[in-house]
Amino acid sequence: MGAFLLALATGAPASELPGTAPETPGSAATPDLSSPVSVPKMASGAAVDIQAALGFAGTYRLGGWSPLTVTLDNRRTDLSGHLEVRVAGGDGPDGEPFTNIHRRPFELPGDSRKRFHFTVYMKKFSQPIDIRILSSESEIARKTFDLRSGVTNAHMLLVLGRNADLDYLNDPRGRRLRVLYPRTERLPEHWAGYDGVGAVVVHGHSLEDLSTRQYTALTKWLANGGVLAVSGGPDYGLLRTGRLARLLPGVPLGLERLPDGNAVGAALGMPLAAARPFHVNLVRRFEGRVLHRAGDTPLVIVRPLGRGRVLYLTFDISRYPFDGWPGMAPLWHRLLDLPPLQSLTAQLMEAEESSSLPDLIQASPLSFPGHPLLFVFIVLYLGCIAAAGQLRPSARGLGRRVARLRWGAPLVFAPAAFYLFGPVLYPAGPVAVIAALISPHPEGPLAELRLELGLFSTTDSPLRFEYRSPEPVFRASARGAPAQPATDWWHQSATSGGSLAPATKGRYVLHALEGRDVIAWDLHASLHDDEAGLLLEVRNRSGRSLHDAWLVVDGNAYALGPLPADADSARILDRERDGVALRQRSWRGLLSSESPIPRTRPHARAGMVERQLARLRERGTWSPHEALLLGFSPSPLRFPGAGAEWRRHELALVLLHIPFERRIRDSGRFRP
Amino acid sequence: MIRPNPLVREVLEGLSVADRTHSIHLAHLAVQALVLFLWWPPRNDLYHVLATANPPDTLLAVIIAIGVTHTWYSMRAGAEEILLPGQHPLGEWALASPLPLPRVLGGYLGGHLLQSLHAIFLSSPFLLAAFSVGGGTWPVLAFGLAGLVMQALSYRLVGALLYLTLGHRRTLTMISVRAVLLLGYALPLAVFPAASHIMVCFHLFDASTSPAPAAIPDAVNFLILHAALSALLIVALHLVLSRHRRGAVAVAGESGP
Repeated sequence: MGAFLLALATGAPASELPGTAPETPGSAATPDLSSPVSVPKMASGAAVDIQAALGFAGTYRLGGWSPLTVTLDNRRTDLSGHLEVRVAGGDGPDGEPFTNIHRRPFELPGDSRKRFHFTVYMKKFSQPIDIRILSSESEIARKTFDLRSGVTNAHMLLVLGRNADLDYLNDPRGRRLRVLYPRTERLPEHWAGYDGVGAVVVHGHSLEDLSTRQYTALTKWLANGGVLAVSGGPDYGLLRTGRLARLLPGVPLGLERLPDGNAVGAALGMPLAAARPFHVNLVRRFEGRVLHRAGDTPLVIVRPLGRGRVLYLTFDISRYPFDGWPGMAPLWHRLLDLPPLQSLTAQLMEAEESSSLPDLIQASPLSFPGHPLLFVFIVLYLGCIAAAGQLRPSARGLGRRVARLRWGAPLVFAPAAFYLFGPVLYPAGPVAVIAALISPHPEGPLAELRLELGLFSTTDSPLRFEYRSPEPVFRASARGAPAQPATDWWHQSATSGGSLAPATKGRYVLHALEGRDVIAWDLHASLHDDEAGLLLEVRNRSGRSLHDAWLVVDGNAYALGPLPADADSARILDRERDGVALRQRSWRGLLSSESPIPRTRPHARAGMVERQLARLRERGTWSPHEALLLGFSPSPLRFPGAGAEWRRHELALVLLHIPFERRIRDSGRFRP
Repeated sequence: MIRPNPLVREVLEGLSVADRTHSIHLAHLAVQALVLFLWWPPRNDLYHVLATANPPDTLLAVIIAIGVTHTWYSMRAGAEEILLPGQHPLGEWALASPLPLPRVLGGYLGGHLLQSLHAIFLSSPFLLAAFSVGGGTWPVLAFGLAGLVMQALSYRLVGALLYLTLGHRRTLTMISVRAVLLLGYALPLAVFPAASHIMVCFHLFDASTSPAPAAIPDAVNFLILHAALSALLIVALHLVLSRHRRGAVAVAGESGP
């Protein structure tokens, strides 16, 4: 499974949707954004129809990422240009609204249709989404879409299938759970688009009709904590198709006949009245854990997948005898085990978390030339000018030379000032400060990547930041940049990678963004109590070395030094000899003063570690039964083109949770 | 072959000889250096600058300092408190030389332009040091300096006019020159910012944080305003000098054979 997930994460498929992808009918009505307020505007004789669908079956969540599918239908001649989607981004510090502008190039032959997937951050519903088609920078079509309907704060349960009806899971007011039936071609192409989705249920459907990017997005979402529930049934051949088979705990071998519902009802927690026999899928070998079984017959099997899980219900959830069974709703709730809904207050608190950007900027070598140097420069220059004034020419020739000195001093000092206080000591131009937090999944090989990106320029040059891989979703953030102006943002996507650009330029204006992605980062560690101390085994297959690594457990920190890329290591740590009590030492004093990452100073790294550890404690996501392995690495963002011309100050903190079961010391011996 | 204007040649020769004016230039440079030093951003201030979106004002401060010192110099030079070595006053050129008045005034303006360029040239190390950390753009810098030159020209002409009309009362001339300079700086700041070099520079450098130097039209208006003012002053100077020349001719005629 690890290799499978790794392949998904590194495959970086670059599939555009087929030019004439058919619209697959969904199992239920799927309201989209072709709302009555839409007013298409045609120009230049071009006839392009714009259709858009936001979220899942027209439902989306505020304060999260949502998929937006735009379909262009070109009924006339060949067309090329840019598709532009404008989404309200929120408000700046002064209450000024700003817009996120997503732009994508397209070529559309005559009489063809093409679909484009975007992942947009939904912050407001009061402003419509504005979609424009530009050819040679002139607008040839435009449509606006009202957002006032379709917003939800409930968990969304997506059902992919032909006949399944899970509407009974909708709570009366739709506050906790909304069951939706999206069309598969409108599923997100980025895993972040599943924000707000509690689970995806697959019934009578394979995943083969998803594009590679959609399938990768689904898998990354699963690995990052998503839940996929797959229903069995008589058409079990669908479950043996490649993609589903790779995800499921096991593949069905056939059907098994159960004479009545007694055993099943007993296993699932509520009597099941079944007067006649029915079938469940026959599964013999599987990878995972059986949650419910009727005798020897597995009914529900769960398989962990990174931080998420795949549930395989071996029976058909919409057929006899489960179609009208009242026990299904409580069973679903038990199986899905959805987390409590995050309140708006919690969301705001999360948004107010402190940022790593200030430390990283202050620790960067980019600082103004000091006053002492300026003083020396001024004294030298004025001294030269004064000396020239003191020379009294007695002869005509000397007078000329004195005049030359008076004119020569500025000629020498002016370019010296320009280069000394410019390119030599304070190079001008755009700067990117990148703080990354990489949290490898316990079972590998993927990791959650959270990025803080600070962009600014010391000149008035326009900012355009390009990145290639990974492909995080980015949104403007007030964290770390309290004076960030409410500027519109351009998000330009290419086949691989993308670019970000604030619409306004200006020197010394810090633009801060937050990004998220799931990346390949195979780091695994285990920790055991041993008679000689703590036995730590680390397998680093991430392809990157970890610098200045530490183990944190029981309030003590243990220096591990560098963990080379693609190497396994095992060591025994003595609690007394190797451990440093964190109550007595600060991380600033502990971390190596020798910069492992170019151009970062210890206090930036220490600030980052302290901030993350505090965050884990506050959120209660650092269990007492867990140790932490941390280390530093350059940011995983890669930069082509214009991005490479930026001066970058980057630092990634890798934070791995390691399960740790203590043994209690008893008379010099360990017992479990 | 173009013959150089004798007034311009006089300025060129005067600039290449060190004397009291050199000390004045040195004093002005010291003032500019002090401003540069005081407005220089602290070494570890980058995050504060970014967090407040408040770029260093070093270049703005230095340009204003150069503007004030050079205007002060020009006003005094116009009032003939400062003369370069070997330089003759404007009145002498008008009265004692056979040069036509337009040529005298043309040379006077050319000489002033040379002195302005010389002052900027002397200040260029400070300007470029401030430019490097301030992150301004070349057009903004050029407009700031052009405004400075035009303003200095206006004040020089005002100084010359004051000297030609009040020069026989030395103290009154001196007081008038300083009063005009103070009022010329203070009044526009209070009532007519478009005529203030300080305000125009403020707008220019504020605007450099927006998509385009939006205040460049303000700077152009400032240049036009001072060009028009200078044109009026030149006409006034021409009239005054013509009257003086006619008076001198009449006196010479009366005292003739």
